[in-house]
Amino acid sequence: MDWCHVTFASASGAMAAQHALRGICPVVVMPVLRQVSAGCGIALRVEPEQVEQVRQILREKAVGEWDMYAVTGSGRALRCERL
Amino acid sequence: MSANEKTIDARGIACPQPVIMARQAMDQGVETIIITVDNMAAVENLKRLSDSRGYVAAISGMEGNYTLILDGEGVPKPEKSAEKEKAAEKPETAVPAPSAAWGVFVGKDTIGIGDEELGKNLMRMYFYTLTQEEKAPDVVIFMNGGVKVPTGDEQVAEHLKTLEEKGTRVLVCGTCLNFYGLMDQLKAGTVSNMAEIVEAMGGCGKVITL
Repeated sequence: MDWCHVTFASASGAMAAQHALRGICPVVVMPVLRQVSAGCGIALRVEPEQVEQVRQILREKAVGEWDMYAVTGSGRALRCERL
Repeated sequence: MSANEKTIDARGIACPQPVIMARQAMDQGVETIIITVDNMAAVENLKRLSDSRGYVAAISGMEGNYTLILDGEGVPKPEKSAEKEKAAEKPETAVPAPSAAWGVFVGKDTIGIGDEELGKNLMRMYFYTLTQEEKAPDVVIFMNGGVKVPTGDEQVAEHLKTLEEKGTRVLVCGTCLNFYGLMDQLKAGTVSNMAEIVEAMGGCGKVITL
């Protein structure tokens, strides 16, 4: 995995997750990858070494439904797999 | 003072006038320009004008009173060639092809009007996506409330640095930075002025306003 893509059921869920992670885990806000959904949405990019910590915080803070994807490659060679 | 030297007192004159005054002197072929200004934004803008024209800038002074000596020794004098004069006389008939260069204008710190937090996230997502695109914009311009983006948003500032590495010019309005008291908080981009921004926009085939 090069990095982890975290998606949410809603934009407000994504923003709640941002609040929960602020000051604890650095995340990058990005659009949901086309490979994951054709729709538009707010997602987070997380470094591999922080995935477990992010998973734990999101569970504890109950930010709604979310999914994690392992991403490798970039551009047309980008691949993602649900974790 | 020789004919090839000009002294300009631009203290109290609002941006971008000091740059325009210096540029006019350069266009007239003045070799040494001594210009006094009262703010750091003007100093930065004059330094960049100087670099872009091949002049060497020496700066002295302190808060509220800076003197720049712009030395253009060896810089070729601008002159109208016969060909240029002929071309200038001829009326333009052909429509020039639009430039492939493109720019992004950011006039506020959110994308769209509505929820502020959503708007700030859309801004982060927009610049994230720009860094992933094959064709980066040639210029990104921040003015008015838009200057809060390269000063206050760590994530977007990182994206702007990536874009700069790809060759994008990131211009941030110095007047706006002064107005909001953010001059010392710029994390990416260069302090710019209206003259440079207008010139950069004019070189673009299209400018997208966020």
